[in-house]
Amino acid sequence: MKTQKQNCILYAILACVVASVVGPLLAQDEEIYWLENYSEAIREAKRTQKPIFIEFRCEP
Amino acid sequence: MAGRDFDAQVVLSPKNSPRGNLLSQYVCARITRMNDVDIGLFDRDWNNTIYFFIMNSDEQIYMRYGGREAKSPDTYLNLSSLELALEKGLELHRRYRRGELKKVERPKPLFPAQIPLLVERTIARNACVECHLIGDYQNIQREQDGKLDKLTHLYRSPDIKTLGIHLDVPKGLVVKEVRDGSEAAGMKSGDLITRLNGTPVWTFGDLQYLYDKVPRNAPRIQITVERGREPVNLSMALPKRWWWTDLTFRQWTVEPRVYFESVALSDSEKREHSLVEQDGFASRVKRVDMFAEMMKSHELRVGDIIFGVDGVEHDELANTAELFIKLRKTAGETVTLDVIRDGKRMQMPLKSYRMSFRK
Repeated sequence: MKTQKQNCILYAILACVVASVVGPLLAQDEEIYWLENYSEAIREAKRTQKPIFIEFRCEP
Repeated sequence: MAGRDFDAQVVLSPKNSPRGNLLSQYVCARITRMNDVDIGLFDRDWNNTIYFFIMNSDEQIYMRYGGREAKSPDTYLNLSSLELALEKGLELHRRYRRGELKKVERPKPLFPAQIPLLVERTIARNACVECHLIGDYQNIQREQDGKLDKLTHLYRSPDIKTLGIHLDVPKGLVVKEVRDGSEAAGMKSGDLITRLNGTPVWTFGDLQYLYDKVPRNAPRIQITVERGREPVNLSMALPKRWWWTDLTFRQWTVEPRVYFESVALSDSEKREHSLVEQDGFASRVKRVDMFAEMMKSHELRVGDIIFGVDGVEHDELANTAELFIKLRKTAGETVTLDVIRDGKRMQMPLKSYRMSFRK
C-alpha cells in the first residue's frame, strides 16, 4: 500500500517535470516563429519560396 | 510606448488564428537593432517606431504597412487591415513567381555606418541606433552639409486628412468620409483607393510613402479609386502647405523651437491693421509655451500680432510668423519680431532653440 502511494507521488512528480519541459515547447509551436536576422530571412525565403514579412521595431 | 500593443498582438498571433494562418505562409522576421539595416532599401519616416514590409528574397518590396499622423502614431495600425495586407502580399507573391510583376530596380544601399554623425553619436559610443535617430542625424548631417531641404526632409508624413480623406481604417484604403479637396475632386465614401499618380497602393503605408514623394510644389495629384469594380481617375488640387504637419512630437528635429503657436490673420484683420495682405504672414499668438520664459526665448503674450521677422513681412510658403521662422531660419538663431500689442507697434527679440545634445 505504502509502495503504491510512493509510486503515485513519483509519477506525479515525473509528470510535472515532463510538463514543465514539453509544455513550453508545445506552446512555442503554437506561435509564429520570428527570425531576428535579415540575411537569415532572405536565405529562408529563398529556400522555402515564401514571401517575407519583416517588422522593424524600435525599442529604446 | 507607441505600437507596443500592436507589436505584441502581431508577434504573438496564434498559429491557428486567421492571422496566424496568414503569417505561417511567410518567413517572418522582427528586427529591433537598426545598426545593420539597409536604410536605403527600407526607407521610411524614421519617426515610426513600428513599421512592416512585405517583400521577397529578391528584395522586391510588394508593400509597406504602417505610417502615422502627427497627433498619434497608432491611428493607422489595425489588425484587420494588416490581415488584408497579408492576403494581398501572398497574391502578389504568387503573381511575382509567375512572372506577372515587373521587377523594379533595388534602391541604392545605405547603412547607418555611412552617416558620420550617426556613427560619432551612437555607433562609436556603443549606443543603440534608435529609429528616430537615423532620421534625425540624417537631417543634422544634411544641415551641416548645406543639403537640408526642410520641406521634404522634415515633413515626412504628410497627412491625407488635409485633402479631406478619412479612411475606414480596418478596411485598409476604403474611404469612409470625404471633405474639402477630395470631395471637390469627386471622391466618394466607399471608394477604394488603388493608385497614387499611377502607382499601385495596397495599404495606408504605401499611400503615405508615395504621398511623401510628391514634389512639394506640385499643384495636383492623381488618385485612382475603385468604385463598383470600375476604376475612376480623380485629379485632386493640393492645398497650400499640404505637406505641413506638426513636428512638435519629433523631439530631436532640426526645426527651430520657438515656444509659441500662432494663427494666421484673415485678410480683413490684416487690412484693419494696415498689414501686408498678399502672402503676408501676420499672425496672432494663441499659445505661449512655458519653456519660452524658462529658456528666455521671448516675451510674447497671447493676443500679440507678429507681422514681421527681421524686417520681412511676407513669404510664398509661410502663412504665420511661427512657420516663417521654422522654414527660413536655423535653430539657435535670434531674430527680431515686429509686434502689435494692444494696438501699439513694437519690436522684440526671439531666440530659437534646438535640443542641447546638438550644440
